[in-house]
Amino acid sequence: MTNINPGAETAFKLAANETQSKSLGKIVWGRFVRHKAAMISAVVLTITILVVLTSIGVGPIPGWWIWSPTDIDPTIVNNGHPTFTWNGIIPSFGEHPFGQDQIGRDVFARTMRGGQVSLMVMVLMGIIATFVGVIIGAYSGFYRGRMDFVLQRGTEVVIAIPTIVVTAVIGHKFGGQNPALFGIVLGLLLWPGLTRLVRAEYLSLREREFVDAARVAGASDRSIMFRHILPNAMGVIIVNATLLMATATILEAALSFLGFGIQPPNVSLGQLINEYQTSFSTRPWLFWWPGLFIIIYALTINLIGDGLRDAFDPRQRRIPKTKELKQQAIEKTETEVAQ
Amino acid sequence: MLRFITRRLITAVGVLFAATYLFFILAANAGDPLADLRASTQPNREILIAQRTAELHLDVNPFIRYFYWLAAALHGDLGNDYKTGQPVTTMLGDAMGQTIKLVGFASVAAIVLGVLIGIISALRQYSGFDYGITLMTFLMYSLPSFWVAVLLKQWGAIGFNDFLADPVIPPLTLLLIGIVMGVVVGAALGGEWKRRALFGGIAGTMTAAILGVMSATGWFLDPGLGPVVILFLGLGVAYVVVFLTTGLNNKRALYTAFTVVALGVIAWVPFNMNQLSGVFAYTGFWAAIGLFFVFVGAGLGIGLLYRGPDKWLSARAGAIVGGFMYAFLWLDYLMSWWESYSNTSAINGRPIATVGSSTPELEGSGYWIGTIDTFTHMVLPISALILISLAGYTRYMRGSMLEVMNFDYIRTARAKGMPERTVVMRHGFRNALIPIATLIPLDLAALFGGAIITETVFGWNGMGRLFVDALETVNVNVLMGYFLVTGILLLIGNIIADVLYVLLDPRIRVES
Repeated sequence: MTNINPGAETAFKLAANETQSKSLGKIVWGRFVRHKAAMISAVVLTITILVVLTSIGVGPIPGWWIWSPTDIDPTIVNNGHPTFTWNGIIPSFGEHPFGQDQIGRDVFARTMRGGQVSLMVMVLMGIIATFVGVIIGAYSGFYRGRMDFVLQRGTEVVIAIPTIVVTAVIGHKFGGQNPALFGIVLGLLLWPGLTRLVRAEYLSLREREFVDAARVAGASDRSIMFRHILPNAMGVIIVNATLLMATATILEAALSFLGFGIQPPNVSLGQLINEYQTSFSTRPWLFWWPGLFIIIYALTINLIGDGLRDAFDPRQRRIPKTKELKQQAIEKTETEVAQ
Repeated sequence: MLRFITRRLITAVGVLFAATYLFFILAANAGDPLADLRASTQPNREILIAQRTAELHLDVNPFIRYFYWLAAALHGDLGNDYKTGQPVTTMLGDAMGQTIKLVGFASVAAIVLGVLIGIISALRQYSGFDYGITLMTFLMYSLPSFWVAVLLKQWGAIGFNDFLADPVIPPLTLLLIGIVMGVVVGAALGGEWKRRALFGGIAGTMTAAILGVMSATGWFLDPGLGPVVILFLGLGVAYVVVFLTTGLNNKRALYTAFTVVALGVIAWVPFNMNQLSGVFAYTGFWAAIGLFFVFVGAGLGIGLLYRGPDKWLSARAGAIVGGFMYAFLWLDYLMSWWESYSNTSAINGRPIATVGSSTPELEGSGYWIGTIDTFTHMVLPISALILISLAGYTRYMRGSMLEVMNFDYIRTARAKGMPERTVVMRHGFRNALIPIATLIPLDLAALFGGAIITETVFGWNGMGRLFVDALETVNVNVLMGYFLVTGILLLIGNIIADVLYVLLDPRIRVES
């Protein structure tokens, strides 16, 4: 037994593990969990969302943080500098960990509110854009021909319209205070990219045998589209919806920064940066925190999307590295020796 | 093919009509163009309101007002800016010039860098370098551009200007830069651990040493290359170009490249040696471009003079090296003006500008000073733009190259004994460029839309700024002019991308 190359044996076992009969969901989940960057991102994102939601509370539910975004603390602690410090390795938060702005408002509470608003815009936008994108892409790809032509030209019109003009109209007509409205509008504008991918998926999937089988069994068009084809296109949809949400975070921040998104007195991460950019030379910390949270959102979601892409990729067979093989071979011989 | 293109063009006109109509209605509802007049306390307020209403047809419903605009636009009249009375066409022309200068330069740099990094990253898949680059690109993807721009403005510009006041790099910083450089080079190279450590160490030490010499001799205050540095740079470029295009075994190409380098260094004497009476002293904008082609042509000619069965290969190498030699000479001469530029009263030793596209006091001070001035104004916005768009190209090129390198024809090429250079450059690289090539027309079309955020933060009067300013004042004529230009270019870019895809990849056929 020991004279056979132990590395080859382990490789064979690993490969067998991959090809065992498992449901697609299990395979994908297994691969996703192995993607280190994506898993770390998922944990970081979850913690961030929990902190953002619980710290200042949502709506009527109170949070654990003492200040609210609108409270004004008349005593400006430490000249407004962040009171967050490290005592050795133990973090010490102090009264205003992220500092205070010119009129004494707590920057931590304001950043948390900004994080909530941006999160809400992002989630609403993601849901709506995915919904619209999938429906239009499905009809376009499934029926082809004239329906496809009309829908695709319509998509081109939507692509051509700059998002900023629409949000400017929303801001003028409704005041730029309502993040939900903003999220819905962004969702109604950002679906074209997803539509094209879903359409391409449907164009190829509709030629497959299982579609013929479903049709022979008497399934209606709608049932074929959404019961039979949709689950097979789910990988592309989930991955791109995730990546779209990361883009939406930055887009929302950019629009608010330019003054065509969320407007004061409401706050969003981009709006905070816009509000505080003039005081950069005197109070740079006002500027760091909202930027940091935008990066956390966008980076973690992008990495999760990348992990999902790898997990859904059918060509992805994990080939163990030579280093891992050697390691496993050593471990194996060690256990054999021990036995 | 022709049928396909005409069909696409006809539908594009329809799409453009629908999009402009929708855009017009949105733009007309984005605010109140009379807001400033309503708030004014002038006695003739009512008359002014009536005037502007008549000028912009504000009493007509936007759904119908569009056709007023369309009728005028079809006659080539895009209307005027209601605030300044300037015709929209001239405004667009000015803004487009500024945008092409800024965004065009940044896009070209980002594409070249992105392709380069992407290929190295793909060839060294799953190495430390690859993981590092992947993480960097994800980080860059996730950076909000306005945040980066403000940070660059506050820290990059002010920090560098402070550094120039007393340009000495402390030894510790030199050491750090050297180590970072060594690690990056070592990681990017392939092969044995020892070889990588050796070359990484050499690169790191060289970098630190060169920076140290530059710092000690006050190079940052009075920069220049000089014939010796140009010679070494030229030899390096010649080596790399010949290695990548023909392989070092092609002696004729190698000799061509070296001859071009030698001639380039000799050209330094009439061109650069005398700052006030050399050839470059009499060179303006167009002459500088013309001279570039003279150098490229000379390189081409020298390659052909070496004759041989594959003289066009030598000519290509010669032309590329010629272009580089000209760039070095040009840069050397440009640098000779740096000191006088930096010491003018308008600059006063703080050359890196944070706002605007030129220093007004220096207008009309000649081609060379003007070029330096443009550069110092472009450095920050271009860095911001490159930082943001580099990530996309790198990821895309890496993915494309990885896919191509896994094809069977690459294995075939290797199996029949092709050198790795030929496999990578001729079989891999060229095919991996196809998806990038089809992406470029769309990006170039989007380029004319300007970089809204970068232009706003850095006060650059390009298309993006024009658009945002017009949106703030609800200047519908300007907005429509902007949208017409960007919309047409986007649709044409889309068609070119599709056509290019078919032309470059013979496996794809058009269905018309």
